[in-house]
Amino acid sequence: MNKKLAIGTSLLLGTFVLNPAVMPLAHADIVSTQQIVAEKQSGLDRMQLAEQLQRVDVQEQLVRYGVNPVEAIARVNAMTDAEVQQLTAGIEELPAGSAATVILLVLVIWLLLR
Amino acid sequence: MAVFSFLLLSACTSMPMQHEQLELSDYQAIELRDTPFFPQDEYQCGPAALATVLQVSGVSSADPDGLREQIYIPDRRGSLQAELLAASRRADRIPYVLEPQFDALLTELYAGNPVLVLQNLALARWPQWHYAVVIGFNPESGTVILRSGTNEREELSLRYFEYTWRLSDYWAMVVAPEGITPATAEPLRYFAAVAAVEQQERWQAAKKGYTAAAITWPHDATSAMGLGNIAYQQQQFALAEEHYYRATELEPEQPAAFFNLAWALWRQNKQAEALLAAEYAQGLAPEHPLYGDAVERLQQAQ
Repeated sequence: MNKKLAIGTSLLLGTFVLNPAVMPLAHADIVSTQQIVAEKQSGLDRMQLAEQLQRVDVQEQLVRYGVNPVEAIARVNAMTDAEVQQLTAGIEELPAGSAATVILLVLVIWLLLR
Repeated sequence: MAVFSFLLLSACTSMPMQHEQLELSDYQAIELRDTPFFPQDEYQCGPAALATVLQVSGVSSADPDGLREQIYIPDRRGSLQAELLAASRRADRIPYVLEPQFDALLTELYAGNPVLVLQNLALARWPQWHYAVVIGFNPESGTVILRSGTNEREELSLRYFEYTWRLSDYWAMVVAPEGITPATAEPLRYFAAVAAVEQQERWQAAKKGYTAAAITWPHDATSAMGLGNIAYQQQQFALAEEHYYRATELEPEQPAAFFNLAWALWRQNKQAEALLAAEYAQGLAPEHPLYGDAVERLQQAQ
């Protein structure tokens, strides 16, 4: 990975570098548990820079959908890289559980399935 | 993955129903009656369902109002799966997504873990996504029991339930109490779940997760690596050394264990031992971009 590019981007991202989930490991010397698991799973090296940009993208999306900006950062920070990647596909595309009561539909489907 | 499942929704219609393959006579009726119930406000099934499983896992402060702020997306009038997982981590718990199998759901239930599921209450092309918590199963009547929406005890036929659950590609998650691995946990997936919590520097939760894993899978070195990495990141190098050393004993073929051990030794100014460990890591994986030049990396560090 291009280290200079990563550092440059981190600076560009401003406050974002302070987020633990995005921040490169304080001790970049050891190999992280995540890397160990990822290597065991697939042997794939992960592209950290791309992930940082994706996090910003998802955070912006959340804000567009009405989440307050500070909360959006906290939400994205608590997600894994894979989850962030899922969300980059677009929040509109993903299932958002919400239904309170859909009695009529349930009834219709139930009748159909009986 | 969710995107793929979205595309596959129409494809799975022709697949056989999983519940038809269950040997119902092998199971006894179960209902986790103590599971709390939070009747949801409009569109708030995510916060309500998550509060339910978090409470059972011992997060007594979890309630739908507090979680609403963390997982509700106003303009989607709902919550995404990734957000439920993220909010569980923020509550210092380790969320675990189940294998998309009916019997996995049942195994968790019998272990006492209510299972949070994503259902589509309408049609594949016109989805009405909904989160609910499965708390019971009755093989005699062929039903599952859920805490769902405003319904404290919803009993659905296996067929109807599976129809709604299958449309989400059988998405289900559990949040086990601290110090316990989920009943269906598979080592790599569970370690990935704990490593996510570790990466977010939720040290206590991650420690408990690795410690639980060490009990469930005593021969897997990953827990020792995780505990070592937590100690290292907190600058407790002697403690890290102990954990890494244990990892090398458990998996002597694992270069990562020797590599990190080398660093823990180096940080304690035990240069000779550190170089020895680094050489060993290098010997195990000479072509690896990291371990392959372990000795050089160590020597360049100050």
